[in-house]
This record gives sequence, C-alpha cells and structure tokens, in this order.
Amino acid sequence: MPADPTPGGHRRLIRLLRGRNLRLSSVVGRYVVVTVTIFAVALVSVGALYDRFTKELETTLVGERQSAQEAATANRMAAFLETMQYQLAKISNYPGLNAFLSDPGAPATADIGALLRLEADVPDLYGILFFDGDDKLRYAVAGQAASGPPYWTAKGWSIAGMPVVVKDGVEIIGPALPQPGRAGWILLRRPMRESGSGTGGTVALHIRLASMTEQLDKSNTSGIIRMLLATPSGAILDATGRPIEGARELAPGPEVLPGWRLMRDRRSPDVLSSLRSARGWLYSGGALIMLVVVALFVHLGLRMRRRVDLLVEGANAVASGNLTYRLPLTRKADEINALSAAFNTMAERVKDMIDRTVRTEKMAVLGQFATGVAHEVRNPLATMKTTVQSLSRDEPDQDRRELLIDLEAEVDRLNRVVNDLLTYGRPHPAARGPLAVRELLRRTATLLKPVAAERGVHLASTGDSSVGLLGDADHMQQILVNLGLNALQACGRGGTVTFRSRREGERTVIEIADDGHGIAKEDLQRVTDPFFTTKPAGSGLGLTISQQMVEANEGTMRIESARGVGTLIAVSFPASSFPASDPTLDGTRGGTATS
Amino acid sequence: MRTPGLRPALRGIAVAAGILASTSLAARAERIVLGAAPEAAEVVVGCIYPMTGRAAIYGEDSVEGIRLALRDIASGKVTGTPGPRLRVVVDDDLSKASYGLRLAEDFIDKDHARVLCGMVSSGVAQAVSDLARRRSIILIGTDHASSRLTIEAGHPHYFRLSNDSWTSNAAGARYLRDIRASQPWQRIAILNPDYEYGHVSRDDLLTAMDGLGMKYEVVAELWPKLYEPDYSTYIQALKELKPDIVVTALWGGDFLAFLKQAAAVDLFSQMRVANFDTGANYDVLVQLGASPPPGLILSARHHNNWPDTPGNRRFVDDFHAMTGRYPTYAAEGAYSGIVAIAKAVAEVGNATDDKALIAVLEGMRLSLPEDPQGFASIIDPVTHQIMQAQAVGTPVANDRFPPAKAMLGNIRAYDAEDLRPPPDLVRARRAAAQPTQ
Ligand SMILES: Nc1ncnc2c1ncn2[C@@H]1O[C@H](COP(=O)(O)OP(=O)(O)OP(=O)(O)O)[C@@H](O)[C@H]1O
Ligand SMILES: [Mg+2]
Repeated sequence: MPADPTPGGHRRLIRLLRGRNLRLSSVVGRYVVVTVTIFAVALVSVGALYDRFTKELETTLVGERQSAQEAATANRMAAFLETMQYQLAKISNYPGLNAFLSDPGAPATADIGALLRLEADVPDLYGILFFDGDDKLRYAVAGQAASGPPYWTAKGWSIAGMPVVVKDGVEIIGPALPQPGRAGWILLRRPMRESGSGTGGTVALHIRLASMTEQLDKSNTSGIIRMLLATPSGAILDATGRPIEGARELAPGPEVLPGWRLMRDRRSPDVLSSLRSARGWLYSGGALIMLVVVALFVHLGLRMRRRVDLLVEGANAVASGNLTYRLPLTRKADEINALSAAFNTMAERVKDMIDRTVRTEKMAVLGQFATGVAHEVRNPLATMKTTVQSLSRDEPDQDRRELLIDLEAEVDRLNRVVNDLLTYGRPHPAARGPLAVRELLRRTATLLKPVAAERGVHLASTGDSSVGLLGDADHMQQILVNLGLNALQACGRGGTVTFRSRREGERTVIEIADDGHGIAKEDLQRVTDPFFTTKPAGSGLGLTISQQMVEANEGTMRIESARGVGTLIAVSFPASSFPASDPTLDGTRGGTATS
Repeated sequence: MRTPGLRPALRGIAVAAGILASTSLAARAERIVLGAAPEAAEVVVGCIYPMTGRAAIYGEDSVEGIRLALRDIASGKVTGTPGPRLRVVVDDDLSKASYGLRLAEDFIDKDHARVLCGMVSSGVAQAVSDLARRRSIILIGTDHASSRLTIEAGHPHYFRLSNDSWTSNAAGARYLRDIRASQPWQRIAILNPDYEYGHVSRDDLLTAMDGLGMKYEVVAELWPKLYEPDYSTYIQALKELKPDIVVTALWGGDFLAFLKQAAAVDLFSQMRVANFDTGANYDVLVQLGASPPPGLILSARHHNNWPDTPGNRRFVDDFHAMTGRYPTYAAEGAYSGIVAIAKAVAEVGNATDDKALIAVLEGMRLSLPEDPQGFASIIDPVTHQIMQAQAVGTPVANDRFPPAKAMLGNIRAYDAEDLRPPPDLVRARRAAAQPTQ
C-alpha cells in the first residue's frame, strides 16, 4: 500500500499525459491546454475584478461613512453636552439657590427643592451637586439614577485630582471611571449666578459617563466602524462607558471637547474580512474546478484515444486485405459511433464492389472460353446428331437401335449445355417493354405443368395478377422457368410450388416459393456461381443465367431458404402500369422445360 | 436681594413651579379612590404607583390587588370579623421621585393620610421614605426592592411587604450554587439598570455569593440607564465578553425590551440569562410565548402557579374573576401591604397610635398567597422587611394561565429563614451608612 496516494496519483497523471497514451500534441491534449489557459485567465481576471470591487466597497463603506460617522458622532456628543450645559445654565441661574443651600429643609425654599428634584429626575443624571469655593461638596440632589455616594453617604467621595477641562465657561470634570459596583461619571460644573453671595459656589450636573459614550454607538448598527472616546485621563472608553483593555490600533478622529477625542478602531471590519475570505474561496474553488476539468479531459481523452485506436486498427485491417473486418458499434449515438458505422458501410461496399468485379471478370473469361468451345463443339454435334439419326433409322437390331436412340438423347443434352453456355457467354441485350405478369405466369405454368405432373408436385399461382413490369419478355420467361424448375426439382412428391406476384411501390415483385428440401446454409452464397450444382444431371448454370438476366433488366434477386422447410426466391423489377398483351416468347431455353 | 436683572429668572422659576403643579395633573392618570368614604374611614392610606409609561402595569395590578384586599378585609377573611374601614387613595408618580414626593405631601396634608404605601421605583421610594421619616408617617412599601431602604436607610416608620433585592439575590445565589454541579459556570456578567435598585441588586448578589463561599469571576458590570430604549450596545458587549451567565436586574418594560433584542441576535444560545427578582413576572412569561429562549433562569416576588396552595389559587382566581386577566407580582405586593395595614389597625383598635401600630407590625405574621404550605410570612422586627420564601426556576410550557404559554417550572424553592440577611451584615451596612449633610 502506498503511504500517500496523492503523489502516486500525480505521477500517474503525468505519465498519462506524457506517455504514449495522451500527448499534449494530440487533439485532446490541445483542448486541455486551451481550456485550462482560458479558465486560468478568466479566474485571474475575475479575481482582479473582485479585488477592485472589494477595494471600492471598502472605500465606499468605510472611507465615506467613516468621515460621515465621525462627524455625526461628534455632533451627537456635542448636542448631548449642549443639552446638559443648557440645563446646567438654567439651574445655575435660579435665584434663591444660596438660601436653599443654607437651609434645604426650610419651607420657604421648598419650591426650589422641588424644582431641583424635577431637574434631576432624568435617567441620565445621578443628581445635581453643589460645591463651595474649595471644591467641597455642600449639597447633593438625588437624580433618577442616584445611587451610592455622594447621595446617601459622601464618605470617601471627592473630585480632587480628577482631570478638568474648560469649555465655554463650563468645567468638565472627570471622567471617574467605573469601579466595581459603580458606573463611571462626569461632572459639568459652572459657578452659580447668584450675586452677592460671594461664596464662589458652583453647581454641577452629575452625569452618567455611559450617557455620553452611548452616543458613540447610536449610528453604528452595521458594525463596520467602531468608535471609541479618548478622555483627558488617558482612558479610552467604549460605548458602554468602560475603558478598553489591551492595545488596539486606533486612528484619531475629531475632538469633541478639549482633551476628549473620538477614536476609530482600525480593526478590520467584520464585513470586509468576510469579503476577503470569499476571495480565498473563489481562488481555491477555481483551482479545484480546473483540476476537475483537467482530470475530466484526461479521462475523456484516454477513452477517445482507445476508440480512435480501434478505428485505426480497422482501417489498417481493411488496408491489409481483410475486407470482412467490421468495427464494433456502441449503443451511443456519438460521432465516433457514426464514423464506425460509416466505416463499416464503406468496407461492405468495397467488398461488394470487389466481389462483383471479380465475378464479372471471371464470367467474361468464362464466357469467352465457353463461346469458343461451344462454337467448336456445335457443328460436330450437329453432324453427330444427323449421323446417329440415320444410323438408328437403318438399324434393324432392336438393342442397338435403342443404344443409338440413347446416344441421340445424350447429344441433345450436350447441345443444350452448349446453348446455355452460348447464352451465358454472349447474352443478348435486354429489349425491355411493359409486360403483364399474369400472362408471364400463365405461360410459365403451361411450360412447367408436364414436369410438375411427372413429379407429382402441385403448382399454384396467387397474388395480384393485374400488375405489370418493365422487362425483356424472353428474359422474364426464362428466369421464371429456371426458378420454377429448381423449385419443382427441390420438391418431393406431394410438394407445392407457388408463384406470387405483387406491387411494392415502384417495383413489381414475383416470388417463387416451394416446400422442398431447401439450401444448406453454406451453399446459399454459392448457388449463383456458374457450374454450382447439387444435382447429378445439373449443369449449375440455371441460377447463374437467371441472375445475369435479372441484373440486365434492372432487377434484384433475393434468396431465402431453410434446410428441410423450403426456399423462397423473390425477383423484383421496375413496375409498369400498362402491360402490353401477348408478348411473344423466345424459346431459346424453352427446351429446358422438358428435361 | 432683588435687582431688575433677576426678574426674568424669578418669573422663570414661577413658571417652572406652575408646570410642576399643572403638568402633573395633565399628563398623569386619574387618581383612584377605593374603600370607605372620608367620613366613614377609620384610616386613609395614600398609595403611590406608576400608572403611565413602561411601569404602568405594576400600578394597574397594584390597584386591583388593593381592591381585592379591601374586599377580603370587608368580608372578614383577614381579621376574622369584617375588618377596619380603609380608604385608599392611589395616584400616579410617573416613576419620578419629584412627583412621588409631591403626591406624598399632598396625601398627608390634603387627604390626611395616616399611612403611605406603594412605589415601584426604588428611587421614588428612597425620596418618599425620607419624607415619611421626616413627617413620622408609616410607609408600607410594596413593590420597590432596593435592600438599602430597609438596611441603611431603614427607619421606624418604614416597612416593606414584598421581597426585596436581598431576598431575591440570596435565592439567586443559592440557585447558582446548586446548578453548578450539573452545569459548571465561572464567569458572570452583571447587566443592571443604572440607578439605586440596579446597584444594590448587584451588591446583594455578590455579597450573597461571597457569603456562601462561592468562587466566581465578574467579567463585566454593565449599567444601561433606566428606561433605555435600545440595548444593542450592551448586548454586543455581552457577546464579546462571553460570560457563562448574565445576571440582570432589568425589570418591567426594560427587561421585555432586552429579551426581544437579545433573542433577535441569538444571545441566548451563547450564555444563560438570569433574573432573580422580576424575571418570572407574569407579563414577562406572557411575552416569552410558546418557545422561550433557552437558558433563562427566572424568579419573581410572586408566582401564579407557585406555591400550589388553596390560598394562592384563591388569590389568583379571585383576581382573574375580578379583572379578566392574571396578576403580575405587583398585585400580591399591594394586597399584602393593605392586608398588613388592616391587621395592624384591627389589632391596635385605632389608626392614630403610630407607636402601637409599629409595634404590632414588627414581627407580625401574615398568611399571604405566596406562602408555601405550613409557612406564614413574617415582618422582620429589625429590618421591617417581610421574610418570605422564594422560588427560582426556568420557563416551561404551561397554558393554565392564558395568554401565557409558559410558566415557571423546574422550581427550586428556598426557605424564608435562609434568605434573611445575616444580622452581622445588617449591622455592618448600617454602620457604614452616614448621612451626607
Ligand atoms: N428451389 C430450390 N430448392 C432447392 N435447391 C435449389 C433450388 N434452386 C436452386 N437450388 C440449388 O442450386 C443449385 C444450382 O441451381 P442451378 O439452377 O444453377 O443449377 P441446376 O438446377 O443444378 O442445373 P440446371 O439448372 O443447369 O439444370 C441446384 O443444384 C440446387 O442445389
Ligand atoms: Mg437449375
């Protein structure tokens, strides 16, 4: 077992690509290279576009909003402080504050007390504090948020040492940072306006620190930019009013008060980091798809290569003379399969053509030979026949005379074979004309009847007798008689030979069917060869001549046969709609009927 | 010294005072008068509750609780015989101390109230309790919870008839201790409203946990302001702090608003949220719906489904029969306050002897709807705080009190005696308190 399958896989892939199986110079190899190149270029350009888009998005989201948000936050904070300052100014202007402070419980100043409580009664305020000239707390009015010192007890409560900044005559004291159990706060303080008191007394709003820092977060719902608040004490506060812990990269923003400054957290905003990780996914996804494409091409290429190899093999086989080689066809209707089918058809045609050429040449040679022999033999045969006739006429001895008569019959037979050979070797050209099939079949039947009767075979004729065909009358007659004779000879006693005729589109078909012994499978290819015969007295020229004549009349012949069942021979010729009546029959081979 | 320049300021103050007097009438809900007519009344009780704003439901249910108490007193269910004739006047403080104080003064001066009651906000209660001390008027607190009022700021005329922040947080601390075995936790965050009650609740919880010797780490204390409309800043901070448990004393509309926002950003899948004082209030349970967020730990000062005693069933059913809805805990608090007043007046025989009334109230035992079987609430003579048992649990599906689809379940109940502040603690806290002036 290999420890790591991946390097092995790579090596195999490289071997496949470099090896004999699939070269980069092959069509598939080129496709792979082109596809991968296009894909890589597309991926890189999409990546570049994506980068630009995220950059733009970042500037749009962060850049523009950053300054807008900073300005808005600074405005909100200023507005909050202004409201507080206004409230403080209002309170500091109350007349009778000094009288109230000198005796807070006195009924005469009850109204001032109630007003102060009303002013303090908002959630943002711990309370309203009054100080004397030495920053010592004189009196505290508890506000809605009041809790702990300095309200219920002032123990340990002091503003000594706290940062103080001044703006528009108002002191901003603090911040006092949150302590365990206590939230942070600031004071907004100004002198009481009361004249003549000469105490140097001041009044302060005791404000929740968080009420100020909460302004940082009000427009920051998207969480893209986080704003913080730097304070004069050095502490940097978050929106909840707590000092942030740990070092952070901060960018300074606008100042909201002297020493109080907005800060921007430079931490990469969450939204953009997800955009960046998306780019990583884009690239790795693209690389993966590219790998898959290459693997797919290699696979396809190898399969295609195998099939092309088969094609090459077939072409080579045909080239080296094996005309019977056929390519295996798959069920898929793809290009390669179509090519294979075309190849097979081509091989078939080539074989047919070669076969026919060979036969034609064979026949031509045979024909010349046969004609020569026939010429040489015909005249002596005629002499022999007249001699034998006169001899037998004069022969008194009965036995001898019978011998002579036999001799005469043999001469006749020889003569007939010679005639056949002449017909075969010098076929007379077809003089085609419209023929009535009914008439043809009737004459054929007349000629065959004696033989049928002798062999005890039933002769029948069925089908559409009104059809006509275009052909040479002599040829037609001879074809039908030859085929009919073969059928009769194949049948035993009690057999049937049937002629059937019908129209098939532009063709007229005549079938000669018998229920005789049939043709052996291995003989089926050869029955039309000249001199092929299975009969002791056969010449083996009947089907040869018939085939020749069928072809001369633009016909086709089809032979179906099963051993022991019977034979069906179908000949088809161009159809003719108006058959001429009573064509004369040339008796060239008429004698055959008597054999 | 008057100068022409001061005149506008003087006019300003007059206008402002006028506003205080008139807007209070315009914006506030109508004052409600229950019980006997002025001539027939043996004692007039002036009650101060919020009837508008986020806390209005507390005032409304308190009024119904008072109505129910008056009925029970009149029918003799409280004292055995038809009890003393009480006249109860209720007015709306808008949850503001300045208004509450003005109302209390009017009750004393104009309605001749001998007893004050009510107050939901600890801030208002603080101011009114101070007034009660100064004017020597008995104040029966029913719904505010800061333990400061009974411990540091306690005085002879102040009593509280509902659980305070100490009771709730002592129960909460025990609950946190008890679940540790099955659900370990270490880091807690505090999310309390930034005012008296929130701060005291935090102190009570940590003191109670320290008293139990528990180890814990407070990762943050967050102080959103009272009536904060938007908790997203604080929820975001909690998500970053990642405590195991957030203990919060947000109450009423604030707690409901927080729950909604926290659920929207899936806070509950990251940490448990506990609210030991008001979390299991009926209006919270109604809002939780059929599928409460996971991990909630809740309790409240009274539960409609606990304890399952005849007394509690009768109270809840009577309330429902009377109003067509089920009560929040405010109803039982106000009911208890009025019942205590009636019992004290009946026992003393008149309502004019404050000393005698106080003496009767100190150590008084009352059978209240929230008392488990075999226990009666008792008013602690030292702190004047009623001592009661408390149940802590989690919301589970329960549609016996529609429209709520969940009620408190998986309950762990803690005995009143366990939840009493240790005497040393009371002494120490009182010693540390010093008046400002
Ligand atoms: N209808 C048929 N049934 C069975 N075999 C047949 C039939 N027709 C032809 N054949 C076979 O084909 C062979 C060739 O026939 P063909 O007509 O060419 O020659 P032949 O009949 O043998 O001799 P010829 O026709 O010259 O007298 C026959 O010997 C016979 O074996
Ligand atoms: Mg033949």
